[in-house]
Formats: sequence, structure tokens, C-alpha cells
Amino acid sequence: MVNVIQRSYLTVCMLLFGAVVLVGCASAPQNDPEALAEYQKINDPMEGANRAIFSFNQVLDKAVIKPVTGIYRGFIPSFMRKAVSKFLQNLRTPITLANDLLQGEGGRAGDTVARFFINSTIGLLGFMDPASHMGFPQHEEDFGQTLAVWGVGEGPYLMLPVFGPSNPRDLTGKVVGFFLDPLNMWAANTDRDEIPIIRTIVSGIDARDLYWDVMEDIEKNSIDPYASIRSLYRQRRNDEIRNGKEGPSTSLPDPDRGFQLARPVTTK
Amino acid sequence: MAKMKLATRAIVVLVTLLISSHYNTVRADGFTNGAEQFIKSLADDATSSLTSETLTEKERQKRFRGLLNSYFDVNGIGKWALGRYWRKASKNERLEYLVLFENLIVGTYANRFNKYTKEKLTVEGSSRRGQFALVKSQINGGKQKPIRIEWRITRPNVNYKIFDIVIEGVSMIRTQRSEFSSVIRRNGGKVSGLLAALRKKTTKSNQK
Repeated sequence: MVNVIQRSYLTVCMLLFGAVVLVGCASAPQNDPEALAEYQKINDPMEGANRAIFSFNQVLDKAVIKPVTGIYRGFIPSFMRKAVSKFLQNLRTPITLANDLLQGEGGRAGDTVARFFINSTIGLLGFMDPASHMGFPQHEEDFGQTLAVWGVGEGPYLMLPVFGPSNPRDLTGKVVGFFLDPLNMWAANTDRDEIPIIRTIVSGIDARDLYWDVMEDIEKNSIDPYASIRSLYRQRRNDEIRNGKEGPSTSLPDPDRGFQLARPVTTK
Repeated sequence: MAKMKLATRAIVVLVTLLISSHYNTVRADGFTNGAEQFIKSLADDATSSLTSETLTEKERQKRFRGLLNSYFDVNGIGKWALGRYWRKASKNERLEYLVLFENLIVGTYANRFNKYTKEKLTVEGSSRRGQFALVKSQINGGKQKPIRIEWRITRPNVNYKIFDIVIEGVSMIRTQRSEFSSVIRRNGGKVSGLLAALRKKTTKSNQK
């Protein structure tokens, strides 16, 4: 079953990449230094291909993902959907813990362990989150973030079929996370192939539910949804990597130099 | 002799720099505290004038526009969001762009205040970076995880003005700029392409 799904996903990818080769890659502007700086900053050399995949994803969303999520939102009350979200979060604990440790975040690793024991027991298998009220705030980590902390660059922007915005670093992190996940490993070793599939589908619906308002907003107000999502994804990801703290990449815009690309302003 | 002159001038420059940086840090506390108060008053004003459920959409947009212009550096934001294309735009294009930009903001955000929610903005503190006061705040809505919001505020003249809002690490002005520059690039580097897209968007959202 997993094989069938993996194979058909790969087929879709190959078909799309075939289309991509036809569309071709955007070439870097050569004679305008400002245009070149902008091109490098956007870091999306496969934009034509990515946009083709994005259109495919939009069609898929309109036809399947959004209607299914709409039914989920319509029939399941908000508190139950939140419980499902929390349950899925709790299932991701081993991956978060491994990455807390790989990033040398001892305090956060402690939070993660405490949360797992509290929420899996008195939190009713993770459907509730009493740990947040006991001084152990929720957070998540993945291997993409760990690679970033270790200094691995993101690489060119990638739009994945079905899964959406990514880049080689985060994609690697996702794949590693999938195969090292204890529940998925257990399912693979005991021939319970349906478990990771169901989990992926439910997680997908949960994610679409969580981003419902953001997506509505982009659909309604953006004049270039592809570019908006690319910018949002990058900024959000950088914030997650820094665990919400300020860093060298949180540069400030310079109001006096409206025409220049922003660069960091040193603290006085 | 020339060397002496140079040395004197260097000292003068250094002393001026020291004084001015001292002046800056002294003023900084007043500046950032004032900025915190400014955000608190914005939150109060927005809640009292926009969230009433009996407002018509038109009236809410009108009030929102008023608040927008008194609390935000709308033209500065618009100019920055256009990036390097600001220079390439003609005078007429610039004027039309600034009008359309303001309409876009009004059309996008005014109707978010159409229902009163229990969400509350709490100011958490502030710091100074360059010419900005950065005010950190949180929106708490019941049992949800609080949302982090940073306000980036300048004082171009006597009044404070908001230049950027950063929600969970996402800068609004930066997102806007990357969207605009993408539209312009896809229209052969012409600002008129962006203006056409904005015209279409804003007439749609203002007619609703």
C-alpha cells in the first residue's frame, strides 16, 4: 500500500518535472547589478517549474483538500479539532526531543520530556495539554531546523507537489524525520502500513485547518499568492530556526533608503 | 600643519559622535517608553472605534482609514514596499501607487475588526535599534497559544509612526515588497503592471 502511494507520488513528481523541463529555468539577469541582487535574494532559480507545481497544488486544493477540510471544519466542533491537533503534536514528541538534543537545547529538551509524560497520562493520550499550564510551553523542532542550526544553507526554494513550500534542506529534514519516527518505524516493522498513511492524511487535514484563515486571506488579498507564500514560508522558517529570538537575519528595513534592499542595522 | 588640521578635525568628529551617541541613549528611554504608550493607545482606539458590530462596512472602512493615517507612516511604507522600482516609477505612477496602496491596506485589514473578540494586546517591553523603537507585544485569545507581535516605530517628526509589524517573525512590509516586486518582474519590469493589478484588486474589495 505504501509502495503504491509512494510510486504514484513519484510518478506525479516525474510528470511535473517533465513539464518543468519544458518550462525551463529562469536565467540570472546579467547586466543589471540591482536586478541580479534581487534575483539572488529571492533564491528561486526554478521559479517557472515551481509555479507550475504551485498551480497543480492549487487545483488539487480546490478539488480535494479544501473541500475535505471544509467538511472536517463543518462537522467537528473547534474544541475537538484542537484536541486532534494536540494529539498529533504529542506524537511528534520523539522527533522534537531528538532535535532539541542535536541542537544542544537542554532546557527545551527537558520541557519536551516533561510535556510528553504529563500530556500522555493526565492529558489523556495527548488530546489535552495540561503541561502548558504547568510551565512547560509547547514547541516543535525538526531535522531541517537542526541542519540550519548546524550551518547548512537552505538551498534554492522548492515547491513540492502536495506538500507545498520547501527547500533541499527542509525536504531532507522531512524525509529523515519520517523514517526515524518511532511510530512509523514500528508500523513498518510490523506491516502496519496503513498507520503512517492515515497519520499523514490526518496531519494534512489538520495543517490545512490550522492555515485556513491564512489561506483565505492570501486568496482574497494577494495579487501574487505564489510570491506571498514564498516570502511567508522563508520568514516563518527563519523565525522557527531561531526559536523566535532575534538574530543576524532579523534585519530592519531602512526607511531613508526605500530603494535599497534591506540590510542589518547595527545596534547602538 | 596639514596633519595637525586633520588630527583636530578627527578629534572634533569623535567628540561630536560621542556626544550625539550619548544624546541618543539618553533620549532612547523616553523614545521607547513613548512608543510603548503609542501602541497601547492604538490598541484602545482600534477596539473602541472599530469593533462595534452595528457599524456599516463603509463606516468601518472610513474609521480604519483615519486610524491608519494617524498611526502609520503609510506613504513611507508604500515607498519602501515598492523597493527599487520607486525610482523607476514616473511622478504620476508614484502618486497613483500611493493612493492604490492605501486602498489595498484598507480593503485588506478593515474588515478584520468586524466582530468583537476577547483577544487582548499586551505590551511586553521595548528596545531601540537604530532609528527604530521595537515594541514587543502579545495577543492573547483565551486558550490559544499567544501570538507574538513586534511593532517597529519611527519618529520622523514630533509624532510616532508605525513602519512595520512583525507577526511571529513575519514582517508585513517585507512580504508586501516581495509580492510587489514579483508582480513587476513578471510584467517586464514595468510599474504600470503592478498598478493595473492593484487597481483590479482594490475596486473589487471596495465594491463588496
